[in-house]
Amino acid sequence: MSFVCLTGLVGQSGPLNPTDLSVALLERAPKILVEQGGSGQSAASVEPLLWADARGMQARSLAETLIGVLRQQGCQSPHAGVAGSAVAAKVAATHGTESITMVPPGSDRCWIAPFPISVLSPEPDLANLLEGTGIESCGDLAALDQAAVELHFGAAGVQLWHLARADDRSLLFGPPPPPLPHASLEWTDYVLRDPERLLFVINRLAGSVTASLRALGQGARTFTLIFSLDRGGAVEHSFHPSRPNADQRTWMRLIRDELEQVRLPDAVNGVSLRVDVVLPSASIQGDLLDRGFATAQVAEAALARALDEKACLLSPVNSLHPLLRRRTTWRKEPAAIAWRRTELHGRCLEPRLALYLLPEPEPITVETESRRGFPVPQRYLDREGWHDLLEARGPECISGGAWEDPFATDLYCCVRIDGVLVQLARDARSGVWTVEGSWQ
Amino acid sequence: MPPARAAAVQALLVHRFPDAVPQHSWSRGTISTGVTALDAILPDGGYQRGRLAVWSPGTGTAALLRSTCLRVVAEGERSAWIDISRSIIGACWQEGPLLIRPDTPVAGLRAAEEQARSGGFALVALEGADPDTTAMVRLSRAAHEGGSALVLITHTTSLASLRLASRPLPTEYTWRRSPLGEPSVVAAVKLRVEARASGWFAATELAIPVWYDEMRLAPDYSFPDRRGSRPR
Repeated sequence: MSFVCLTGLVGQSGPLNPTDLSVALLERAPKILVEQGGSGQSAASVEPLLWADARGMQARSLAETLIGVLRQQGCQSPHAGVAGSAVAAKVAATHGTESITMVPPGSDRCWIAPFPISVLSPEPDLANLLEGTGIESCGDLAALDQAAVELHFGAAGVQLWHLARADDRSLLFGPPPPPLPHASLEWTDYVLRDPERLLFVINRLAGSVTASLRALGQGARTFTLIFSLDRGGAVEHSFHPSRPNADQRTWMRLIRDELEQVRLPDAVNGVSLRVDVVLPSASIQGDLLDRGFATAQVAEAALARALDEKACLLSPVNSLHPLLRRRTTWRKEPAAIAWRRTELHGRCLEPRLALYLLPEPEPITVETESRRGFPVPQRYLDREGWHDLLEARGPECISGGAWEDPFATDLYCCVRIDGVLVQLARDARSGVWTVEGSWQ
Repeated sequence: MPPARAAAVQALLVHRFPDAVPQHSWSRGTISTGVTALDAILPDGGYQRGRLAVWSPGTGTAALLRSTCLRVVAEGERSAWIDISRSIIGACWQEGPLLIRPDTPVAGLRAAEEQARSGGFALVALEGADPDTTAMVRLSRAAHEGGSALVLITHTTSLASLRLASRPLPTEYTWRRSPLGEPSVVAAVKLRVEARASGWFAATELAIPVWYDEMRLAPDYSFPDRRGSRPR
């Protein structure tokens, strides 16, 4: 039994929305398909249908459950047809006399044989031709030879002939995905408390799971390590490698880093490792003439290792914020950026001094003189001592941020006596001086 | 490809092409700094691949090393900049080299070691670290194994095959003048760069321009443009 077809989606006030019904049905069935009516000529085919995937399940019990759900949703007289082929299930649902019509396994063809040919919704021209030939029931058509059907009724006739033989080749539901790899080990004679001592077991589990993943041509995007505790319960740790991979060494490095910080609440008597999300191991098309192409794969792997070990690969997204410190947000990049080629030429390759900001502005004491009404620094005192200034140019007066965090800053570009170019800032409201950074 | 098949292919290649050079040995040589005057004072005309070089922190070091990273990318190879000090701002960062920002200095050293050892990067630059001797040994070995030129900006110079220092010459700065004839901004900076290696010392002076971020005023009803107004 593979298919459950549901009809009679009509409530007291009229037809119910099949999409809404499918949402309710999905709580009980793994896969639901909505087939809007409109194909074919018969009135029955205009009625929307709901399909449920019953492969690997008790079809009758699933049909009863779904009928119950439909009744709760307001359907007056829902019907279900259960069969191994979609065409038999549809005929059973639309022409069955009971609430649930079961087609015995393996007898789909015999079961639909007595029904008139119209239950298969033939095209009008073909229906007339069949009627003129004297073919009235599905059994009549199914009894014919395929070559004769093709000769007299064409391709459409052959298609209908297949349906009459309950040989329905329509693929309502895709193949079920294979179960994701997992491995576990439990023991009863002893318990372990130190996560480090579990590494040997975890290593073997990781080897088994990664081998299964590699055989599927996939890499794990997320995997979970589960410790079963001696007094019941479990502790889960999820891992997110920087790129999908099935590399045992990478997994173990991530797990080892995590175990260094894990404090388990109880002794452990079992470990499970399961894969939660997988992605295909993609290969990237590159340019054979590119000098970096040959090494892109090892570069990507090295970057992925760095990203797994508390590092970020960043590229700037610059705004026009007046404050340099708030001008840039950093976007995290994946390790696959190693495959990207950047064309650079001309003046952008020439060295130039650029401003490097200190992680935080450093407060300083400044001696100033007045120039055109502004205090201009002459020398300043930081953690290293006093620095005399050869020149101080500015200020650049910057203000704004009234809606969030108001600021008003005077920026000075200064040349220290040792030649270092520094940027000093004075908060125009509080008068506090800081070193912002230097040109390097 | 399964490791067994890869090993079989490698064995077949060695058998059929006995003179073939392994991939990690292709790129032995030097990487030009992109500055002719600087290349001229280096023992091999650039940073040696597979070797460790150290710049002492100072004005111009990051600028010259950034330029080299860009040139490496322009020539079709790959460079990485590991920013431990977290002082780079986006406005001055040009796309091309890969910018890696570790959470901790130790993570930065490990990242540098990984990238240098991988063989996927012609140049790896590490800024903001202060590695001890053990770390320098590891980095030096990684560079040697991967064939990358590993350049550090640090005060630690042990095990470095090349030591570079840059010192600004403030009296020879080029100033841009204001309409009133006063010096307004520094247009270019003159640097004295010294290169030291075993049995080698050379120095040169070079001028490099200064790049300023665009200062954008933010007109705001409560904090209006204050240029020209008297401070409160």
